[in-house]
Amino acid sequence: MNHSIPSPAYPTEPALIEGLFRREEAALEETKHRYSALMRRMVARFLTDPRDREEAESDALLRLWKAIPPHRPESLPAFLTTLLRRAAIDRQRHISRAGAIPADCLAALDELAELLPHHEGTEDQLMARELARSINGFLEGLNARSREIFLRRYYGSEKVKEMAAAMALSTSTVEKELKALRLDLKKKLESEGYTV
Amino acid sequence: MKKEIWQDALNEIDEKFAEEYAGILQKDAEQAVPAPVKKMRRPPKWTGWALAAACLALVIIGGSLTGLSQANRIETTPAAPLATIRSGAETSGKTGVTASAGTTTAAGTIPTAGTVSEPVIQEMPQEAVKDGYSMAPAASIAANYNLKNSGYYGFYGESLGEHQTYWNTEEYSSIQENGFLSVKTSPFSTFAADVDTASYANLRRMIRKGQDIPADAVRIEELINYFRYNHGQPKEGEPFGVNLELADCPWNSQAKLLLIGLQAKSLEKETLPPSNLVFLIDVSGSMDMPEKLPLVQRSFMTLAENLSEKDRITIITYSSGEKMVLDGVSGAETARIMGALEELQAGGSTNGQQALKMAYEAAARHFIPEGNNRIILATDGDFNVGVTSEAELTRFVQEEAKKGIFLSVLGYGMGNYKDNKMEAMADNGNGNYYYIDDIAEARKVLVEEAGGTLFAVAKDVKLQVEFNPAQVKGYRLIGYENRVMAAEDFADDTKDGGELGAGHQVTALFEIIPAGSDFEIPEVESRYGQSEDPSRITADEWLVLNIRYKEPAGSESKLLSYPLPLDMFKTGGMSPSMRWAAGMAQWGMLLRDSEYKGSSSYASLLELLEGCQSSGGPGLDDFRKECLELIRQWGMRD
Repeated sequence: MNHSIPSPAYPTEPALIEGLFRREEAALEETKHRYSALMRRMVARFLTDPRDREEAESDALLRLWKAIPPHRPESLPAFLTTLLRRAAIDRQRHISRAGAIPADCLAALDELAELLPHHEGTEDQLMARELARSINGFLEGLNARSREIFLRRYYGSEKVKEMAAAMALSTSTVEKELKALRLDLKKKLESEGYTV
Repeated sequence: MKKEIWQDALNEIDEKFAEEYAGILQKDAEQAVPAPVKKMRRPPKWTGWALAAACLALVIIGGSLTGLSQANRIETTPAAPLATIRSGAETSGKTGVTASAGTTTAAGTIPTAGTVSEPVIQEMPQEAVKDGYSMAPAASIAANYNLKNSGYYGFYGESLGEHQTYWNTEEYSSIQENGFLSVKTSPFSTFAADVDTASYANLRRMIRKGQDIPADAVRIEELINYFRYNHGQPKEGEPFGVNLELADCPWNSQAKLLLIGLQAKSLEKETLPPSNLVFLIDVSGSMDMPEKLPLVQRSFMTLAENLSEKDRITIITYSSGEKMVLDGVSGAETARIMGALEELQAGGSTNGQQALKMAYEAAARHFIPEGNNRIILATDGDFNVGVTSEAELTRFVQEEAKKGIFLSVLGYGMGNYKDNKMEAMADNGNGNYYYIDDIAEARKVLVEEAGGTLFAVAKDVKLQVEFNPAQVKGYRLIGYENRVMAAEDFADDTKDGGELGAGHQVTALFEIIPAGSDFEIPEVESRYGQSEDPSRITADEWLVLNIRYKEPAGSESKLLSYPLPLDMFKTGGMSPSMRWAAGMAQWGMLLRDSEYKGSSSYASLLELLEGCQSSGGPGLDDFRKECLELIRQWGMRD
């Protein structure tokens, strides 16, 4: 099947979501084909080995199949992006061999980890949820361009050079912006009581 | 804090941000640079063949045209969407098949029947291949036809590689040509002044490239106004000099030709007010072509060389997002301004609305009272806002113009060129609109005629001609179709006119049918007859020209009146200025194949224009010589 032409059975995104909601396997197959490039791009930033990437992609599709129904996403690409990211990170944690995680992905995390190097007490999962709320608030306050820079680097684990090319900026500009964003995020987290 | 916590936290952020990132990935996919290709006619990859075969199969079956509406070369005009779909024969030699009205496609329902062509494989310059043309025009086509762009075609897929198609999505507003009106029923002709010249420059580009010329791309008044005429300088205390001429009409033996010329006062460079300029530059991916961003950069560098320390320059760029490159620097910092312009690079989608707001904010921040506060927008036209947003944008621009921040538009490039939108933006922003097709034009607009381009001496300029029914049976305004106003709007100061810059000229032509002629003009018989006060009719005048204008910072209009006495009729032929203006009108009518072209022909046109050299005037300047060459080039195609 040529993945560039949508199946007549699912000509639009809502039709595809409806097919998934009705548990039609053809809809899942169509999802895999239609968004194959999205899936490849997303996992490639988190995993280097093609086998790991394939594993993560399959895992994301399985999660999608399990989630719909009852969940009915408003945007299938957005929902799939979220699942792909989670699947890729879970795969990262599963494997332990050297070089399995792209250097830039680690570098991006290192940048964030430096913001608040210490924390005490609370359970990691709870902390993660609280931190997510803070990040949401932080992202809300950014203009579209700054938000894109943050999302590309820390959500998408993109390389600075790639970001610069995609956004028509110099790498030094991107790095400066990222530094400024981290500083702002740090101030916000400190004001919300995250201890240093 | 442990990295894992950050990872998990980012996994849990609001879905709307995930959606935003998904959109970013889509844009990246659209602009992905394929392996460089030179000859598009090479056999594409297997996906390309499968795609072409699938499209052909769908067309032959004539059933669902899934995605085919997005796979065709379509020239969009608002008046007749599918009727103007081209067969692409000039590039592929392939004919089209008919799509039935109401056919449902993957992306929506085709509104009317028309010929749908096969995907066109076309030799493309390498630069254009980088641009992801397959998606940008599809979105634009979807917008025109109100089709949903389901985004299957390269949405999250691979870029098309060798098998890209080139889409012409140039847009021009439909022009309903002015016809003859009876003076009995319509004694007033009212229109806003217009000094835009983009249509001529755009026409020049199309002729040079050997392209077909859409009739609606030809605005006759802009062909006329591109050139300078001898209209005479203003009298002391008046903002305009006015020139009225009447002679026999070259293409209609039953008509006279009336020329109206306005000459705005010039300002000495030393007396020019300071400028607060915002260069708002489109740096989206579609600008990555030699005739676009590089020409924009050179255009603004040319302007920057002529600024001084009293001027303020802001540079804002926009693509996927907006960026403040320079904020209110002195015009004397030439190196800094040049450096900033040199570093501009194209890439990303086109999101102009926020950038325009940023530009107005910057202009307000550096506002110079009684100075020239202006945004100069340089774009190839794709502003990419939704229909409702366009209305908001229009209102926003109009409101800002009232505060004294004007908006002029420079159009560049082809293909995605949205002539109608750009002209509308400039009109709403109390500015002017120019098409820049080469550096010479940039120099003309931004340096040689900078006074006119940048410094307003009058705004909301309106003209109203009242014809004397004792002398004139009917008339036809040539051009200015999108500037015509109701008679009662002439005195209504809330109704906008045009802006005149320092040294600007406005030239308009009327065909006039004298009273007593048997030339047929549609009239309406009145049951109650026409009430006239004979004492008000002055027998020795053809007409009176009334002009209303406002001072640049004023809100109330002033009135000037210029009657045209009967003895102004020139029996000895036209002045060189009038000959040239008449020639431009004639050429415009030939290009449009106008029903009013009368006895116009290519030969008579050349005779009229070449006669300007020997009719006692100063001869032809370089712009006129270039125009003659263009006409000869155009004539050879016929």
